Amino acid sequence: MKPAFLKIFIFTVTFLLSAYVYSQSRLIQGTVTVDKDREPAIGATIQLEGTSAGTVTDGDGNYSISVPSTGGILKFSMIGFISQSISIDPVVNTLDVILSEDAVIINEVVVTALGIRKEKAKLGYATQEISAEPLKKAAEANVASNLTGKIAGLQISNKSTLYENPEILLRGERTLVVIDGVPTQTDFWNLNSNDIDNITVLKGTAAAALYGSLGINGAIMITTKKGKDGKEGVEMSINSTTQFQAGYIRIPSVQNQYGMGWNGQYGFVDGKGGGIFDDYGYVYGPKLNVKDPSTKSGFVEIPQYNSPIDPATGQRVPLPWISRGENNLQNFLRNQLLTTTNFSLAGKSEKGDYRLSVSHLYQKGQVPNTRLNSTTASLSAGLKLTDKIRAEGNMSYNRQYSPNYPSAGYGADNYFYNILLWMGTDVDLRDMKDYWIPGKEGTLQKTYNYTWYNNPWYLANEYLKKYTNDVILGNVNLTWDLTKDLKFLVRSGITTNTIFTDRKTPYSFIYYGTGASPLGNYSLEKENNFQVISDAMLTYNKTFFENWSITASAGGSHRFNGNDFVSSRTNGLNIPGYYNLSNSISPVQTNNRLIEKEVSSAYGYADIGYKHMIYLGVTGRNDWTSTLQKPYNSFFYPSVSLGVVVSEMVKLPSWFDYLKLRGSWANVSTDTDPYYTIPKYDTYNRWNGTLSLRRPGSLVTPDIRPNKTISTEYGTELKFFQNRLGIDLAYFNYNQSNFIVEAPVSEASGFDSKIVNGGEIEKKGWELALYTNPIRQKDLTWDITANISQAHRFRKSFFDGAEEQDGVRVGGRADILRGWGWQRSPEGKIVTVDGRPQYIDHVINLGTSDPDWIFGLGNKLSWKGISINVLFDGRIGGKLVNGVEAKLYEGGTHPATANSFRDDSYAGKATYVLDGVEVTDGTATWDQQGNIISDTRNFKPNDKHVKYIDYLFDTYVNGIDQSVLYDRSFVKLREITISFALPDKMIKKLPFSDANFSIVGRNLALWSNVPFMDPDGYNYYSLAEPSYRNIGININLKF
Amino acid sequence: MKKIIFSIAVFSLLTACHKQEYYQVNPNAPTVTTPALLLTGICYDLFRVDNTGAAFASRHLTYYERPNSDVNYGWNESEGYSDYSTLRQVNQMEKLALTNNDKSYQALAKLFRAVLFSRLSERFGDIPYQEALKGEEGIDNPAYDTQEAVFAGLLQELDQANDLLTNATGTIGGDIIFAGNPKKWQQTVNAFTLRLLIHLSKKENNTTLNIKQRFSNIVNNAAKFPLMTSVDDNAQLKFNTSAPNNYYPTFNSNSVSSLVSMEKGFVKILKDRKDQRLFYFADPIVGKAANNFDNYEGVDAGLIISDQQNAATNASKIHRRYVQNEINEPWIFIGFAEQELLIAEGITRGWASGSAQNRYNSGVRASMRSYGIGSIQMEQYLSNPLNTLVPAKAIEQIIVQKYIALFMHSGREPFLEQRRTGFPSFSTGPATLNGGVIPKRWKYPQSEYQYNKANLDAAIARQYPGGDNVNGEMWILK
Repeated sequence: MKPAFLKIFIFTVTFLLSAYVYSQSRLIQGTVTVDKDREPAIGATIQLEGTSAGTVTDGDGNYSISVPSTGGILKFSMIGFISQSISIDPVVNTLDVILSEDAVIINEVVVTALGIRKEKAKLGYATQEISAEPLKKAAEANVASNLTGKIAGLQISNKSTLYENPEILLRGERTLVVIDGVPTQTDFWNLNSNDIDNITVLKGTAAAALYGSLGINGAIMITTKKGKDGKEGVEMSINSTTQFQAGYIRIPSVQNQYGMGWNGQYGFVDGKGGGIFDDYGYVYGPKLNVKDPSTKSGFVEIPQYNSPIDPATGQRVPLPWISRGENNLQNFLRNQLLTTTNFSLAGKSEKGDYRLSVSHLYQKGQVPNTRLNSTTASLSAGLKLTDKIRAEGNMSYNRQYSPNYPSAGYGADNYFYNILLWMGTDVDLRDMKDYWIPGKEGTLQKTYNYTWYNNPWYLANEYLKKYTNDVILGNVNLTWDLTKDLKFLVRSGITTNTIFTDRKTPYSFIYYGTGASPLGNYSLEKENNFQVISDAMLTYNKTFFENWSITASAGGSHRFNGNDFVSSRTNGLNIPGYYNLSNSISPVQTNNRLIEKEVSSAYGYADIGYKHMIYLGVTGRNDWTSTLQKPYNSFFYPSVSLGVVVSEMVKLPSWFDYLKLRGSWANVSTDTDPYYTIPKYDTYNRWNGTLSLRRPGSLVTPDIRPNKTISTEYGTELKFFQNRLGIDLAYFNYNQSNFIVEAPVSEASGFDSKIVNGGEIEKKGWELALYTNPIRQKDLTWDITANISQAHRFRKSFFDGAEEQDGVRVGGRADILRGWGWQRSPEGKIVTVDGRPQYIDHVINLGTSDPDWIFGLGNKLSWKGISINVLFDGRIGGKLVNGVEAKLYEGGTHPATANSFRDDSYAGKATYVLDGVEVTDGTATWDQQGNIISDTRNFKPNDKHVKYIDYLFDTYVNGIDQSVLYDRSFVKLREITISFALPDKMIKKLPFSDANFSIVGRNLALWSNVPFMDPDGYNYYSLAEPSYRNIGININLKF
Repeated sequence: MKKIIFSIAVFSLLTACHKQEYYQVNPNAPTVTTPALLLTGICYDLFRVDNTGAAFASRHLTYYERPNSDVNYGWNESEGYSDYSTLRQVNQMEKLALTNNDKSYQALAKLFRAVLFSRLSERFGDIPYQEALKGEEGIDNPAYDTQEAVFAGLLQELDQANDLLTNATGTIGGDIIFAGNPKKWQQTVNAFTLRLLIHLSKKENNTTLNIKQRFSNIVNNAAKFPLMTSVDDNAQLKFNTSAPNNYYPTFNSNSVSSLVSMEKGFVKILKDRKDQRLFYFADPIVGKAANNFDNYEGVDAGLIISDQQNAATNASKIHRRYVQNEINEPWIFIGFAEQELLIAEGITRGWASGSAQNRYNSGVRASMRSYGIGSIQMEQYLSNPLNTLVPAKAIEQIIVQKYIALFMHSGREPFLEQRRTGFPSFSTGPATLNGGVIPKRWKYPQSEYQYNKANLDAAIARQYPGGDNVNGEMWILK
């Protein structure tokens, strides 16, 4: 056919068809509103079932659609609301519809990168959001702890020691925190759950790709409360929580049958070696509570640390050798107390809105004289400058103040080091509460061993670590609607904090001899961090041809980071107790540091949507960083994401409400620390005042490139049974390569390492979040939320092509835990020689350290005005070396060491037989992983007797990690909250608009095989405060 | 409206920018240095060695807080190649000295290279020498030189050091040992050369090294090869109280104070000889009077920990002054006493002419004098038949005197000399690892297996038929 004829043919057919359709249809019009406050439903879809015909509501909720005169069914749907299908009335041409909120899908507008709000359905990557409202009821001192178990893929390791930072890992790595759209440096201590509206976690690289290198490991997006979210007028609210310690969930214990000393002998003269083993510091001394009828007390008597000196002989008077200090730890500790109070005032009017908030947190530590105060004042305001310009500002000031806080590190300044590991129960801590030697107040502490250990009371009251941190967060932004479709945004956010640390070391402080300060010390540190990030962004938003929507944006960003640090410390104090730098005996030592970094960026994104079915997002960003050298300082990060709402495209069974598939890809690079690529000399030891320099061992090359992460992520969201069951599943795979590594070279080359790019790691895992409501009745509802996740890192290659390094093999897990282990027979029995256990002469692989699973399980039961929340969480798998247990054995305080073998050992008798084997002939060799590579050994059971104390020292004191290797798995009953809301009838008579009371409990129970330490937050030699349970009340009033 | 637009424009420019170049200067570290600044650090590394650990292995002291590789001879993991880190500083100093044409620093670099490379070689055997320290030129995997080649090279470097210092003038900046006096360094170079030559005693007939000739040249030509003339010429580090790491290193150490005792064999040597230096080294047994030989005893380092701890209640701890005094005596790297004993040995071996007895006496006096022992006691001591040189036992007597003189000095020198000569015999026992045998060397570091394997494998194959183990006998000992 000829083209002209074809045109005419098509025209004719089209004309005839449309005429036919037109003649057979009529127009239905109406308004769609939402049930809550009858506001217009904007953007709701109306579809004629069984056809492709459809439309969407306009800005006032109005719609019109032409339907066949034969009738049909119209389906009204909108994200967050329950869809309705209504048959068209044969006569009436008006159809108004009220959509009901979908209990679960509501609020599914989430905050995405750069603070842009998007409908969750449109996203092609994993996010999870939680409302901050419940967090404030059972508040923790650090808000991050309140997130434990609530987000799939987010691992929070909680600490029982006062004011110790929880560790926060998202998909196994440290992540970015963003407040109101602006990246912020925060340790969460300055944040207050009362000021947080919601938290959205952008799980992966693609989601946070618009933040560039900062967003390489996702982001925790915090949106603070604003006046505009509330009602018109003024609203006041008061929230207060008080929690008391109600016992412990993990506390170490010690034996109480043997006292201080060595080999069953002890006699205190000066605690410095003048007596019998009085300087040793072990708890392998004589048996306690042994009767001796020849003494006045009826017990064996020995000169002790608290023995009075006989004025006649000048000797210490023997005292009964009995166990008086069984409750030393409990006698020393007090009950922790935590209170939080918040007052807020918010208002909204035509012209603008505001919110004011003041909070105070007080925590009394378990250790005497330790506490934490944190006060926050914040103000946020929004103002309509013109109809088209809105300005917003947020500002918060927080001051954390601790006059003295403990440390969980191992050492003689740790209370528990002294009380648990190296103190026998012959010592009664209550004796030492007056911690100065009479007549030597301020210069000589009273303690029980003057070579190694400090009196814990002296530490608590005189060895003071003061800390203050002033944090200011501020951001301002202006949005300007240039035209209906074009918007301009400028935003600038500042985070600055100043930390003052002040350490007072009193006279006679004991610290392993060489580190001791017999003449005291004083040190001061000041650190200031400053970050300012400014953005300008132009956004275009348009819907085309009814079904196509596009949002496109382009912008620029600039970030500056500064860190200033100054420290000064004395070398001894002239006047005891006068803590001033001018009191230094030798010249004061000072040190300072300045670190600056700048990153400039340009970015853009485009979101394209087709109907409510397919959403494509593309982002791009280029960073120019100051920490790398040209031309490697510029890098580009692209990302693509796709969301497909299958349930909008195909008809699913009626019980299958929603099906969405999503996928994303991103390529993000990170730079390195400032000045890292610049060659330098290090200052080295001074000799008699002469400074020296030293060339560092790593050879810097200027062509260091950024490292690179390519992430891919797939996921699906499913909803069933009228939204009574929902599932969100994500699978991710990160390819991390080009690491900036200090590649070891032969030390004989004159360098230990060269800084190069190389190596490749694959991180993969998945996350499952699930909710269901088994009961959904008018007065009774039961909601269950659960999440479980896994993230593992696998080594793909090493920078130098090696097959194995430090026990990590190519293709194998990267989180290998290395340590010393035993030679074993094929049956796993320890190999002995002369009855003594034999270790493999190099470190081996003990297992993997990351958990296999992280999970959380929440239950919420609501009945009328009462709701009960129960949250469990835990981590399954991973190994831990329990150094505290090894040290309890070393010190002789481990409860298992009180036995008859010890008595035999004291008597010089070798009676202990290790349950192991002895090699009769042959040899074995082990590879770097501790696997046997050749073995010609034959065995017989070990029958050689050794002294029990030799066995203990061989097994636990020699640093053989395998002796104290545990599975780190645990489950915690993290929280129970029982809330009562006052009924409306009662409220009307009271001056409140809302009143809610709760009984709260945190950290209520722990199930784990790890003894003596809480595996949630600790391993190795951490000597933490005992893990405690908190119970309290919360009051929340609104006016 | 205009105001608003203006404020927006100002607002967007709020953050100031620096140029990229601004960030390429590290405000926290220097990027240039001088030979003087490097020299101070090198001296610190060389002179402030771990004499305590060395004293366990050479059975001067023993330690029983926990298992210790020196006490138990459990040298499984090697000592490591950390000396190459100090050599990196030496190398840098030499480069700068060549640029500045500064002969003194060039000479010191040669001396320090000799000290460090010989120390490495005597621990391991063959080591990278010619190709070493060239990482910046791209040699990441340097080849191993034979021990013989290393020593040949070092002896030549020491000759060059002597020549360079002959013409050196002015004071050497950054010198914390001799306050910048090049003449004193020249004496140290020659004394150290004597030490190396004596270490090579089993190779006295080696024609390339020409040991005897070199030895006699130095001993007999004071004009060309000046030697130390008194203890004032000792190459030693004087401690001071300007900072805690300038104190005597065992000052205030709890472990040394409460869990370190004199070793049994060493106490016996001193008691047998009625050597009053014992009273300066050790405390009497707790509760007994000082300065009476009967009140001193040692602990057998071969015992297991709990037995050592029990024995320690009736034994002498290290003298309290080592933990109570901030300063004590300087740590000698190489001193006049050692030099005299080295010459006494050389004369005994027929390498040089002179009186071995005179040199021996001079060495013993130098050591005793440094502890403040009076002349009368000294001469009394030397007249004791046990302490008078007997030709048949001369080598043993000389070595034992050196063993005494080097208590808490000179790092592992007493161990290396015992390894060479077998004097004095060291105790082993149930706690001794390695099958109860004293090791002869250290295993090569694990890192070399990972990062320089081919070269290392070749070096092991040509030296140690039994593989890289602590009992292998290196060239210098054959």
